[in-house]
Amino acid sequence: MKTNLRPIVEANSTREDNLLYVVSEGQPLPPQFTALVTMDRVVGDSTYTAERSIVRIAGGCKKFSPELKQGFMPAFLNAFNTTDGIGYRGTVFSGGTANLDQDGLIDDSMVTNVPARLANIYPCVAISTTPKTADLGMARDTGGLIVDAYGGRMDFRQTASVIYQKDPANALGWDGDLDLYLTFMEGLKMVGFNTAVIALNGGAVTRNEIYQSLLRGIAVIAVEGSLRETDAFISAFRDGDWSFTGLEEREKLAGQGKCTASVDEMIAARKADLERIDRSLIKIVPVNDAGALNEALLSIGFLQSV
Amino acid sequence: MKFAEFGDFPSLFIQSGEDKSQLFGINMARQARHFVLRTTGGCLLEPEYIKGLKMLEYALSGRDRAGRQRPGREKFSGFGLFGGTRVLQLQDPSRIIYGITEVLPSIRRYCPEAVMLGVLAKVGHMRYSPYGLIVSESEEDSLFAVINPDQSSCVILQPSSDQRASWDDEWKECVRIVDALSEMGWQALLVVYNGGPVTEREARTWARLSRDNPDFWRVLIVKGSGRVADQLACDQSFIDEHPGVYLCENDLDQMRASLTKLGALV
Repeated sequence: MKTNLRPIVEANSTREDNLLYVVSEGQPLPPQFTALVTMDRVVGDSTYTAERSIVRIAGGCKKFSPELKQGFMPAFLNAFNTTDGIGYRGTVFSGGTANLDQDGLIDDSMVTNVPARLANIYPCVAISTTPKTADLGMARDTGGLIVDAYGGRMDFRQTASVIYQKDPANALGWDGDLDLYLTFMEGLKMVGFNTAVIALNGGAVTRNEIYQSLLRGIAVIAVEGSLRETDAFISAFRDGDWSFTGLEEREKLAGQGKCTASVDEMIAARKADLERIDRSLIKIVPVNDAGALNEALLSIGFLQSV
Repeated sequence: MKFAEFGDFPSLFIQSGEDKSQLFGINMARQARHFVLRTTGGCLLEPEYIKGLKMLEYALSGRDRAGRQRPGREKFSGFGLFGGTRVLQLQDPSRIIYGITEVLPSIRRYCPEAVMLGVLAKVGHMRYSPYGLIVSESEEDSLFAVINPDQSSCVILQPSSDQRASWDDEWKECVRIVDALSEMGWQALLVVYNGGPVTEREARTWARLSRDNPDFWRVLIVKGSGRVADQLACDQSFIDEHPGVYLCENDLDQMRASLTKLGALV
Protein backbone atom coordinates (compact mmCIF):
# COMPACT_ATOMS: atom_id res chain seq x y z
CA MET A 1 0.00 0.00 0.00
CA LYS A 2 1.44 3.36 -0.98
CA THR A 3 1.70 6.02 1.69
CA ASN A 4 2.61 9.66 1.63
CA LEU A 5 6.31 10.48 1.92
CA ARG A 6 7.75 11.97 5.08
CA PRO A 7 10.64 14.35 5.75
CA ILE A 8 13.81 12.69 7.04
CA VAL A 9 14.31 15.56 9.51
CA GLU A 10 11.58 16.31 12.04
CA ALA A 11 11.15 19.63 13.86
CA ASN A 12 11.92 18.01 17.18
CA SER A 13 12.23 14.57 18.67
CA THR A 14 8.74 14.61 20.17
CA ARG A 15 6.71 15.40 17.04
CA GLU A 16 6.28 13.46 13.83
CA ASP A 17 3.62 15.63 12.26
CA ASN A 18 3.69 18.64 9.94
CA LEU A 19 3.66 21.55 12.38
CA LEU A 20 1.06 24.18 11.53
CA TYR A 21 0.86 27.79 12.67
CA VAL A 22 -1.85 30.31 11.88
CA VAL A 23 -0.55 33.87 11.76
CA SER A 24 -2.74 36.93 11.40
CA GLU A 25 -1.79 40.13 9.60
CA GLY A 26 0.52 42.19 11.75
CA GLN A 27 1.84 39.23 13.70
CA PRO A 28 5.35 37.95 13.09
CA LEU A 29 6.22 34.42 12.16
CA PRO A 30 6.50 32.44 15.39
CA PRO A 31 10.05 31.83 16.65
CA GLN A 32 9.39 28.07 16.68
CA PHE A 33 8.95 28.32 12.91
CA THR A 34 11.82 30.69 12.15
CA ALA A 35 14.26 28.77 14.37
CA LEU A 36 13.96 25.78 12.04
CA VAL A 37 16.38 27.45 9.63
CA THR A 38 19.27 27.01 12.08
CA MET A 39 18.17 23.80 13.76
CA ASP A 40 20.62 20.89 13.51
CA ARG A 41 19.36 18.33 11.02
CA VAL A 42 19.25 14.98 12.85
CA VAL A 43 18.85 11.94 10.61
CA GLY A 44 19.12 8.69 12.53
CA ASP A 45 22.54 8.69 14.17
CA SER A 46 23.86 11.51 12.00
CA THR A 47 23.64 15.20 12.79
CA TYR A 48 24.24 17.84 10.14
CA THR A 49 24.76 21.51 10.83
CA ALA A 50 22.13 23.51 8.98
CA GLU A 51 23.40 25.27 5.88
CA ARG A 52 22.80 28.99 6.29
CA SER A 53 20.71 29.34 3.20
CA ILE A 54 17.06 29.50 2.27
CA VAL A 55 15.38 29.17 -1.12
CA ARG A 56 11.78 29.83 -2.10
CA ILE A 57 10.23 27.94 -4.99
CA ALA A 58 7.80 30.34 -6.65
CA GLY A 59 5.43 29.95 -9.55
CA GLY A 60 3.51 27.08 -11.04
CA CYS A 61 3.29 24.72 -13.97
CA LYS A 62 0.19 25.89 -15.83
CA LYS A 63 0.21 25.09 -19.54
CA PHE A 64 3.14 22.71 -19.07
CA SER A 65 3.30 19.94 -21.66
CA PRO A 66 3.18 16.38 -20.23
CA GLU A 67 6.95 16.09 -20.82
CA LEU A 68 7.66 19.27 -18.87
CA LYS A 69 5.35 18.19 -16.09
CA GLN A 70 7.03 14.82 -15.78
CA GLY A 71 10.50 16.31 -15.76
CA PHE A 72 10.38 19.19 -13.30
CA MET A 73 10.38 17.20 -10.05
CA PRO A 74 13.32 14.89 -10.95
CA ALA A 75 15.25 17.95 -12.11
CA PHE A 76 14.78 19.69 -8.76
CA LEU A 77 15.65 16.58 -6.80
CA ASN A 78 18.89 16.10 -8.73
CA ALA A 79 19.80 19.80 -8.65
CA PHE A 80 19.83 19.92 -4.86
CA ASN A 81 22.32 17.13 -4.38
CA THR A 82 25.76 18.00 -3.02
CA THR A 83 29.20 16.76 -3.97
CA ASP A 84 29.39 14.66 -0.79
CA GLY A 85 26.15 12.92 -1.76
CA ILE A 86 24.35 13.94 1.42
CA GLY A 87 22.29 16.65 -0.22
CA TYR A 88 20.97 20.06 0.65
CA ARG A 89 21.03 20.93 4.36
CA GLY A 90 19.41 24.34 4.22
CA THR A 91 15.78 25.41 4.12
CA VAL A 92 13.46 25.24 1.16
CA PHE A 93 10.00 26.67 1.05
CA SER A 94 7.04 27.38 -1.12
CA GLY A 95 3.35 28.23 -1.07
CA GLY A 96 2.72 24.85 0.53
CA THR A 97 -0.35 23.66 -1.36
CA ALA A 98 -1.03 20.24 -2.85
CA ASN A 99 -3.47 18.18 -4.86
CA LEU A 100 -4.54 14.75 -3.72
CA ASP A 101 -5.38 11.77 -5.90
CA GLN A 102 -8.39 9.55 -5.30
CA ASP A 103 -6.44 7.45 -2.79
CA GLY A 104 -5.60 10.45 -0.61
CA LEU A 105 -1.99 10.57 -1.76
CA ILE A 106 -0.37 13.84 -2.77
CA ASP A 107 0.16 13.66 -6.50
CA ASP A 108 3.29 15.89 -6.67
CA SER A 109 1.92 17.75 -9.67
CA MET A 110 2.75 21.19 -8.30
CA VAL A 111 5.96 23.12 -7.79
CA THR A 112 4.75 23.75 -4.25
CA ASN A 113 5.45 20.06 -3.60
CA VAL A 114 9.17 20.43 -4.31
CA PRO A 115 10.16 21.26 -0.69
CA ALA A 116 8.45 18.18 0.72
CA ARG A 117 10.05 15.95 -1.91
CA LEU A 118 13.48 17.42 -1.21
CA ALA A 119 12.98 16.99 2.53
CA ASN A 120 12.14 13.36 1.95
CA ILE A 121 15.59 12.57 0.55
CA TYR A 122 17.93 15.28 1.87
CA PRO A 123 18.53 16.64 5.39
CA CYS A 124 16.88 19.95 4.62
CA VAL A 125 13.86 21.56 6.22
CA ALA A 126 10.70 22.08 4.18
CA ILE A 127 8.47 24.95 5.22
CA SER A 128 5.71 26.98 3.65
CA THR A 129 3.66 30.12 3.98
CA THR A 130 0.20 30.06 2.45
CA PRO A 131 -2.22 32.98 2.34
CA LYS A 132 -5.73 32.15 3.50
CA THR A 133 -7.66 33.06 0.38
CA ALA A 134 -10.99 31.58 1.48
CA ASP A 135 -12.49 30.18 4.67
CA LEU A 136 -10.46 27.24 5.90
CA GLY A 137 -12.13 23.87 5.91
CA MET A 138 -11.57 20.23 6.77
CA ALA A 139 -12.26 17.44 4.30
CA ARG A 140 -15.12 15.36 5.66
CA ASP A 141 -13.55 12.07 4.60
CA THR A 142 -9.94 12.53 5.73
CA GLY A 143 -9.96 15.61 7.93
CA GLY A 144 -7.29 17.14 5.70
CA LEU A 145 -7.01 20.93 5.75
CA ILE A 146 -8.57 22.76 2.80
CA VAL A 147 -7.10 26.17 2.24
CA ASP A 148 -8.82 27.65 -0.79
CA ALA A 149 -12.15 27.84 -2.52
CA TYR A 150 -11.18 25.08 -4.99
CA GLY A 151 -10.55 22.39 -2.39
CA GLY A 152 -6.80 22.86 -2.46
CA ARG A 153 -4.95 21.18 0.40
CA MET A 154 -1.82 21.88 2.37
CA ASP A 155 1.15 19.68 1.57
CA PHE A 156 1.32 17.89 4.91
CA ARG A 157 4.66 16.23 4.25
CA GLN A 158 6.65 19.31 5.27
CA THR A 159 8.41 20.15 8.51
CA ALA A 160 6.26 23.17 9.28
CA SER A 161 3.68 25.36 7.59
CA VAL A 162 2.18 28.77 8.21
CA ILE A 163 -1.25 29.85 7.12
CA TYR A 164 -1.34 33.61 6.92
CA GLN A 165 -4.68 35.37 7.28
CA LYS A 166 -5.98 38.87 7.47
CA ASP A 167 -7.92 37.84 10.57
CA PRO A 168 -10.14 34.87 11.52
CA ALA A 169 -13.06 36.20 9.51
CA ASN A 170 -11.41 37.59 6.38
CA ALA A 171 -9.25 36.26 3.59
CA LEU A 172 -6.21 37.66 1.81
CA GLY A 173 -5.33 37.75 -1.85
CA TRP A 174 -3.09 35.18 -3.49
CA ASP A 175 -0.12 37.45 -2.85
CA GLY A 176 -1.14 38.02 0.75
CA ASP A 177 1.91 36.31 2.22
CA LEU A 178 4.42 37.94 -0.10
CA ASP A 179 5.51 40.66 2.27
CA LEU A 180 5.59 38.23 5.18
CA TYR A 181 7.90 35.73 3.58
CA LEU A 182 10.08 38.25 1.79
CA THR A 183 10.64 40.13 5.06
CA PHE A 184 11.61 36.79 6.62
CA MET A 185 14.09 36.12 3.82
CA GLU A 186 15.40 39.65 3.91
CA GLY A 187 15.98 39.33 7.64
CA LEU A 188 17.90 36.12 7.13
CA LYS A 189 19.98 37.82 4.47
CA MET A 190 20.78 40.56 6.98
CA VAL A 191 22.23 37.95 9.34
CA GLY A 192 24.37 36.29 6.71
CA PHE A 193 22.14 33.73 5.01
CA ASN A 194 22.32 33.03 1.30
CA THR A 195 18.86 33.68 -0.09
CA ALA A 196 17.24 32.93 -3.42
CA VAL A 197 13.92 32.55 -5.16
CA ILE A 198 13.60 30.00 -7.95
CA ALA A 199 10.85 31.22 -10.27
CA LEU A 200 9.15 29.19 -12.93
CA ASN A 201 5.98 29.77 -14.90
CA GLY A 202 3.49 31.72 -12.80
CA GLY A 203 1.22 34.72 -13.26
CA ALA A 204 1.03 38.17 -11.74
CA VAL A 205 1.82 36.95 -8.24
CA THR A 206 5.01 35.25 -9.43
CA ARG A 207 5.96 38.40 -11.31
CA ASN A 208 5.57 40.36 -8.06
CA GLU A 209 7.64 37.75 -6.26
CA ILE A 210 10.44 38.12 -8.78
CA TYR A 211 10.63 41.88 -8.68
CA GLN A 212 10.04 42.26 -4.95
CA SER A 213 12.76 39.71 -4.24
CA LEU A 214 15.25 41.52 -6.43
CA LEU A 215 14.41 44.88 -4.89
CA ARG A 216 15.28 43.38 -1.51
CA GLY A 217 18.59 42.05 -2.79
CA ILE A 218 17.43 38.42 -2.91
CA ALA A 219 18.81 36.44 -5.85
CA VAL A 220 16.37 35.09 -8.42
CA ILE A 221 16.98 31.99 -10.51
CA ALA A 222 14.57 32.31 -13.43
CA VAL A 223 13.74 29.08 -15.24
CA GLU A 224 13.62 29.68 -18.97
CA GLY A 225 11.12 27.69 -20.97
CA SER A 226 8.78 27.43 -18.01
CA LEU A 227 6.34 29.77 -19.82
CA ARG A 228 4.16 32.66 -18.61
CA GLU A 229 5.53 35.44 -16.39
CA THR A 230 8.91 33.89 -15.68
CA ASP A 231 9.66 33.65 -19.39
CA ALA A 232 8.22 37.14 -19.77
CA PHE A 233 10.62 38.40 -17.10
CA ILE A 234 13.56 36.77 -18.88
CA SER A 235 12.55 38.40 -22.17
CA ALA A 236 12.28 41.79 -20.49
CA PHE A 237 15.49 41.48 -18.45
CA ARG A 238 17.74 39.89 -21.03
CA ASP A 239 16.28 41.03 -24.32
CA GLY A 240 14.49 44.27 -23.42
CA ASP A 241 11.31 42.76 -24.83
CA TRP A 242 8.35 43.70 -22.61
CA SER A 243 5.67 42.38 -24.94
CA PHE A 244 5.13 39.23 -22.88
CA THR A 245 4.97 40.91 -19.48
CA GLY A 246 1.37 41.00 -18.28
CA LEU A 247 0.22 39.35 -21.50
CA GLU A 248 -2.41 37.17 -19.83
CA GLU A 249 -3.85 40.15 -17.96
CA ARG A 250 -3.90 42.23 -21.16
CA GLU A 251 -5.62 39.48 -23.09
CA LYS A 252 -8.20 39.00 -20.35
CA LEU A 253 -8.99 42.72 -20.18
CA ALA A 254 -9.14 43.04 -23.94
CA GLY A 255 -11.37 39.99 -24.15
CA GLN A 256 -13.77 41.69 -21.75
CA GLY A 257 -13.66 44.87 -23.79
CA LYS A 258 -11.88 46.73 -21.01
CA CYS A 259 -9.06 49.24 -21.16
CA THR A 260 -5.57 47.79 -20.81
CA ALA A 261 -3.91 50.96 -19.55
CA SER A 262 -3.36 49.35 -16.14
CA VAL A 263 -1.10 46.76 -17.76
CA ASP A 264 0.91 49.52 -19.42
CA GLU A 265 1.26 51.27 -16.06
CA MET A 266 2.39 48.03 -14.46
CA ILE A 267 5.02 47.53 -17.18
CA ALA A 268 6.28 51.08 -16.69
CA ALA A 269 6.65 50.40 -12.97
CA ARG A 270 8.52 47.15 -13.63
CA LYS A 271 10.85 48.92 -16.04
CA ALA A 272 11.63 51.41 -13.29
CA ASP A 273 12.25 48.52 -10.88
CA LEU A 274 14.64 46.88 -13.32
CA GLU A 275 16.66 50.10 -13.48
CA ARG A 276 17.25 49.86 -9.71
CA ILE A 277 17.90 46.15 -9.48
CA ASP A 278 21.37 44.63 -9.19
CA ARG A 279 21.45 42.60 -12.39
CA SER A 280 24.04 40.20 -10.96
CA LEU A 281 21.32 38.79 -8.68
CA ILE A 282 19.58 37.19 -11.66
CA LYS A 283 20.51 33.76 -12.98
CA ILE A 284 18.74 32.10 -15.90
CA VAL A 285 18.61 28.33 -16.25
CA PRO A 286 16.84 26.13 -18.82
CA VAL A 287 13.74 24.31 -17.67
CA ASN A 288 14.22 20.83 -16.22
CA ASP A 289 18.01 21.13 -16.45
CA ALA A 290 19.24 19.78 -13.14
CA GLY A 291 22.88 20.48 -13.93
CA ALA A 292 22.28 24.11 -14.78
CA LEU A 293 20.12 24.65 -11.70
CA ASN A 294 22.76 22.97 -9.55
CA GLU A 295 25.45 25.25 -10.98
CA ALA A 296 23.30 28.32 -10.46
CA LEU A 297 22.73 27.39 -6.82
CA LEU A 298 26.43 26.77 -6.29
CA SER A 299 27.29 30.12 -7.86
CA ILE A 300 25.26 31.97 -5.23
CA GLY A 301 26.68 30.06 -2.29
CA PHE A 302 24.18 27.23 -1.87
CA LEU A 303 24.83 23.50 -1.52
CA GLN A 304 27.91 23.81 0.64
CA SER A 305 29.15 20.40 1.71
CA VAL A 306 30.49 20.56 5.26
CA MET B 1 32.24 53.93 0.42
CA LYS B 2 29.86 51.10 1.27
CA PHE B 3 27.81 51.33 4.39
CA ALA B 4 29.41 48.19 5.80
CA GLU B 5 32.77 49.99 5.73
CA PHE B 6 31.28 53.05 7.42
CA GLY B 7 30.89 51.30 10.75
CA ASP B 8 29.43 48.39 12.66
CA PHE B 9 26.32 50.12 13.97
CA PRO B 10 23.56 48.16 15.68
CA SER B 11 20.24 47.80 13.92
CA LEU B 12 17.33 49.31 15.81
CA PHE B 13 13.71 48.19 15.74
CA ILE B 14 10.70 49.63 17.52
CA GLN B 15 7.84 47.48 18.79
CA SER B 16 4.65 49.30 19.58
CA GLY B 17 1.94 47.61 21.61
CA GLU B 18 1.45 44.02 20.53
CA ASP B 19 3.51 44.48 17.37
CA LYS B 20 6.54 42.17 17.25
CA SER B 21 9.52 42.88 15.05
CA GLN B 22 10.15 39.98 12.71
CA LEU B 23 13.55 41.37 11.78
CA PHE B 24 14.68 41.70 15.41
CA GLY B 25 13.56 38.13 16.05
CA ILE B 26 15.59 36.90 13.10
CA ASN B 27 18.73 38.00 14.96
CA MET B 28 18.43 34.60 16.65
CA ALA B 29 19.39 33.08 13.29
CA ARG B 30 22.81 34.78 13.43
CA GLN B 31 25.75 32.43 13.41
CA ALA B 32 26.28 31.80 17.11
CA ARG B 33 25.94 28.90 19.50
CA HIS B 34 22.37 28.17 20.56
CA PHE B 35 22.87 29.46 24.10
CA VAL B 36 21.04 32.51 25.45
CA LEU B 37 22.60 34.40 28.33
CA ARG B 38 20.40 37.04 29.91
CA THR B 39 22.09 39.45 32.35
CA THR B 40 20.01 41.39 34.85
CA GLY B 41 20.68 43.46 37.93
CA GLY B 42 21.76 46.86 39.13
CA CYS B 43 22.59 49.80 36.91
CA LEU B 44 23.64 52.11 39.75
CA LEU B 45 25.96 50.13 42.00
CA GLU B 46 27.53 50.96 45.29
CA PRO B 47 31.31 51.18 44.87
CA GLU B 48 31.96 47.87 46.66
CA TYR B 49 29.96 45.98 44.00
CA ILE B 50 31.51 47.58 40.93
CA LYS B 51 34.68 45.52 41.23
CA GLY B 52 32.66 42.32 41.37
CA LEU B 53 30.76 43.26 38.25
CA LYS B 54 34.07 43.79 36.51
CA MET B 55 35.05 40.28 37.57
CA LEU B 56 31.83 38.96 36.01
CA GLU B 57 32.86 40.72 32.82
CA TYR B 58 36.31 39.09 33.04
CA ALA B 59 34.84 35.66 33.73
CA LEU B 60 32.57 35.90 30.68
CA SER B 61 35.42 36.98 28.42
CA GLY B 62 38.09 34.53 29.55
CA ARG B 63 40.24 37.17 31.21
CA ASP B 64 42.35 37.11 34.37
CA ARG B 65 42.13 39.54 37.29
CA ALA B 66 44.30 42.03 35.45
CA GLY B 67 41.91 41.97 32.50
CA ARG B 68 44.19 40.00 30.21
CA GLN B 69 42.61 37.42 27.98
CA ARG B 70 44.36 34.07 28.12
CA PRO B 71 44.46 32.02 24.90
CA GLY B 72 42.45 28.84 25.12
CA ARG B 73 40.53 29.93 28.19
CA GLU B 74 36.79 29.41 28.05
CA LYS B 75 34.69 32.42 27.21
CA PHE B 76 31.10 33.19 26.36
CA SER B 77 29.73 32.29 22.96
CA GLY B 78 26.07 32.50 22.06
CA PHE B 79 23.40 35.16 22.28
CA GLY B 80 23.51 37.76 25.03
CA LEU B 81 20.26 39.50 25.95
CA PHE B 82 20.53 42.64 28.04
CA GLY B 83 18.85 45.96 28.77
CA GLY B 84 20.49 47.66 25.81
CA THR B 85 21.24 50.98 27.53
CA ARG B 86 24.22 53.04 28.57
CA VAL B 87 23.87 55.26 31.61
CA LEU B 88 25.54 58.65 31.45
CA GLN B 89 25.94 61.44 33.98
CA LEU B 90 24.08 64.67 33.31
CA GLN B 91 26.91 66.89 34.53
CA ASP B 92 29.52 65.02 32.52
CA PRO B 93 28.02 62.86 29.75
CA SER B 94 31.47 61.62 28.77
CA ARG B 95 31.40 59.57 31.96
CA ILE B 96 29.79 56.15 31.59
CA ILE B 97 28.16 54.83 34.76
CA TYR B 98 29.30 51.22 34.97
CA GLY B 99 26.40 48.87 35.61
CA ILE B 100 24.91 45.58 34.46
CA THR B 101 24.12 46.92 30.99
CA GLU B 102 27.80 47.53 30.30
CA VAL B 103 28.90 43.92 30.86
CA LEU B 104 27.82 42.31 27.60
CA PRO B 105 28.86 45.25 25.38
CA SER B 106 32.26 45.32 27.10
CA ILE B 107 33.01 41.70 26.27
CA ARG B 108 32.03 41.93 22.60
CA ARG B 109 35.55 42.39 21.33
CA TYR B 110 36.82 39.51 23.45
CA CYS B 111 34.00 37.19 22.41
CA PRO B 112 33.76 37.29 18.61
CA GLU B 113 31.41 34.30 18.62
CA ALA B 114 28.81 36.10 20.70
CA VAL B 115 25.91 38.24 19.52
CA MET B 116 24.67 40.92 21.90
CA LEU B 117 21.03 41.92 21.61
CA GLY B 118 19.46 44.75 23.54
CA VAL B 119 15.85 44.92 24.69
CA LEU B 120 14.98 48.40 25.89
CA ALA B 121 11.81 49.64 27.51
CA LYS B 122 10.97 53.19 26.50
CA VAL B 123 10.28 54.41 30.00
CA GLY B 124 10.62 58.06 29.05
CA HIS B 125 9.86 60.08 25.97
CA MET B 126 12.77 59.61 23.61
CA ARG B 127 15.06 62.48 22.78
CA TYR B 128 17.92 62.69 20.37
CA SER B 129 21.10 64.09 21.87
CA PRO B 130 24.73 64.43 20.83
CA TYR B 131 25.38 61.48 23.15
CA GLY B 132 22.84 59.17 21.53
CA LEU B 133 19.14 58.43 21.61
CA ILE B 134 17.90 59.06 25.15
CA VAL B 135 15.36 56.54 26.40
CA SER B 136 15.11 57.55 30.03
CA GLU B 137 16.08 60.44 32.27
CA SER B 138 16.36 60.92 36.03
CA GLU B 139 16.82 64.47 37.23
CA GLU B 140 16.82 63.16 40.77
CA ASP B 141 19.91 61.04 40.09
CA SER B 142 21.30 63.43 37.46
CA LEU B 143 21.54 60.55 35.04
CA PHE B 144 20.16 59.63 31.66
CA ALA B 145 20.22 56.46 29.61
CA VAL B 146 20.95 56.24 25.91
CA ILE B 147 20.95 53.27 23.58
CA ASN B 148 24.22 51.45 24.10
CA PRO B 149 26.14 51.80 20.83
CA ASP B 150 28.06 48.57 21.41
CA GLN B 151 25.65 45.78 20.51
CA SER B 152 24.59 43.89 17.40
CA SER B 153 20.94 44.85 17.35
CA CYS B 154 18.29 46.18 19.68
CA VAL B 155 14.57 46.60 20.01
CA ILE B 156 12.75 49.41 21.79
CA LEU B 157 9.48 48.52 23.44
CA GLN B 158 6.70 51.09 23.68
CA PRO B 159 2.97 50.70 24.32
CA SER B 160 2.42 53.35 21.65
CA SER B 161 4.14 56.41 20.19
CA ASP B 162 3.06 58.58 23.09
CA GLN B 163 2.89 56.14 26.01
CA ARG B 164 5.79 55.12 28.19
CA ALA B 165 6.69 51.50 28.88
CA SER B 166 7.49 50.17 32.33
CA TRP B 167 10.83 48.76 33.43
CA ASP B 168 9.16 45.35 33.71
CA ASP B 169 8.38 45.33 29.98
CA GLU B 170 12.04 44.66 29.24
CA TRP B 171 12.36 41.41 31.16
CA LYS B 172 8.91 40.23 30.14
CA GLU B 173 9.88 40.55 26.49
CA CYS B 174 13.13 38.69 27.21
CA VAL B 175 11.15 35.86 28.84
CA ARG B 176 8.92 35.72 25.75
CA ILE B 177 11.96 35.55 23.45
CA VAL B 178 13.68 32.87 25.52
CA ASP B 179 10.49 30.85 25.98
CA ALA B 180 10.14 30.45 22.23
CA LEU B 181 13.51 28.67 22.21
CA SER B 182 12.73 26.31 25.07
CA GLU B 183 11.50 23.53 22.78
CA MET B 184 14.15 24.03 20.12
CA GLY B 185 17.12 22.43 21.83
CA TRP B 186 18.65 25.72 23.01
CA GLN B 187 20.16 26.40 26.44
CA ALA B 188 19.44 29.46 28.56
CA LEU B 189 20.82 31.11 31.69
CA LEU B 190 19.84 34.19 33.66
CA VAL B 191 22.66 35.82 35.63
CA VAL B 192 21.55 38.02 38.51
CA TYR B 193 23.97 40.60 39.90
CA ASN B 194 22.69 43.06 42.54
CA GLY B 195 19.41 44.58 41.41
CA GLY B 196 16.16 45.93 42.83
CA PRO B 197 12.45 45.06 42.69
CA VAL B 198 12.34 44.71 38.91
CA THR B 199 15.28 42.29 38.99
CA GLU B 200 13.54 40.34 41.73
CA ARG B 201 10.38 39.91 39.64
CA GLU B 202 12.44 38.69 36.72
CA ALA B 203 14.49 36.27 38.83
CA ARG B 204 11.39 34.85 40.48
CA THR B 205 9.72 34.40 37.09
CA TRP B 206 12.64 32.42 35.72
CA ALA B 207 12.80 30.42 38.94
CA ARG B 208 9.09 29.62 38.72
CA LEU B 209 9.54 28.48 35.12
CA SER B 210 12.44 26.30 36.23
CA ARG B 211 10.05 24.18 38.29
CA ASP B 212 8.60 22.72 35.09
CA ASN B 213 11.78 22.78 33.04
CA PRO B 214 14.87 23.03 35.29
CA ASP B 215 17.21 21.96 32.50
CA PHE B 216 16.27 25.02 30.45
CA TRP B 217 15.22 27.83 32.81
CA ARG B 218 18.34 28.25 34.94
CA VAL B 219 19.28 31.15 37.17
CA LEU B 220 22.75 31.94 38.51
CA ILE B 221 22.66 34.36 41.42
CA VAL B 222 25.92 36.05 42.35
CA LYS B 223 25.93 35.97 46.13
CA GLY B 224 27.68 38.96 47.62
CA SER B 225 26.71 41.29 44.78
CA GLY B 226 24.23 43.11 47.01
CA ARG B 227 20.54 43.97 47.21
CA VAL B 228 18.11 41.50 45.60
CA ALA B 229 20.81 39.02 44.60
CA ASP B 230 21.84 38.66 48.24
CA GLN B 231 18.24 38.55 49.49
CA LEU B 232 17.42 35.67 47.16
CA ALA B 233 20.72 33.90 47.79
CA CYS B 234 20.03 33.93 51.51
CA ASP B 235 16.44 32.69 51.13
CA GLN B 236 16.96 28.95 51.58
CA SER B 237 13.32 28.09 50.94
CA PHE B 238 13.51 29.93 47.62
CA ILE B 239 16.63 27.96 46.67
CA ASP B 240 15.12 24.65 47.79
CA GLU B 241 11.86 25.19 45.91
CA HIS B 242 13.49 26.04 42.58
CA PRO B 243 15.76 23.35 41.12
CA GLY B 244 17.02 25.60 38.36
CA VAL B 245 18.50 28.22 40.70
CA TYR B 246 22.25 28.15 41.34
CA LEU B 247 24.53 30.31 43.48
CA CYS B 248 28.12 31.42 43.18
CA GLU B 249 30.24 33.76 45.23
CA ASN B 250 31.17 37.21 44.00
CA ASP B 251 34.64 36.06 42.95
CA LEU B 252 36.22 35.70 39.53
CA ASP B 253 37.19 32.05 39.87
CA GLN B 254 33.85 31.04 41.36
CA MET B 255 31.90 32.90 38.72
CA ARG B 256 34.02 31.38 35.98
CA ALA B 257 33.56 27.87 37.38
CA SER B 258 29.79 28.26 37.68
CA LEU B 259 29.37 29.80 34.27
CA THR B 260 31.45 27.00 32.76
CA LYS B 261 29.49 24.33 34.59
CA LEU B 262 26.22 25.85 33.38
CA GLY B 263 27.44 25.87 29.80
CA ALA B 264 27.79 29.61 29.27
CA LEU B 265 31.56 29.45 28.73
CA VAL B 266 33.11 27.13 26.17
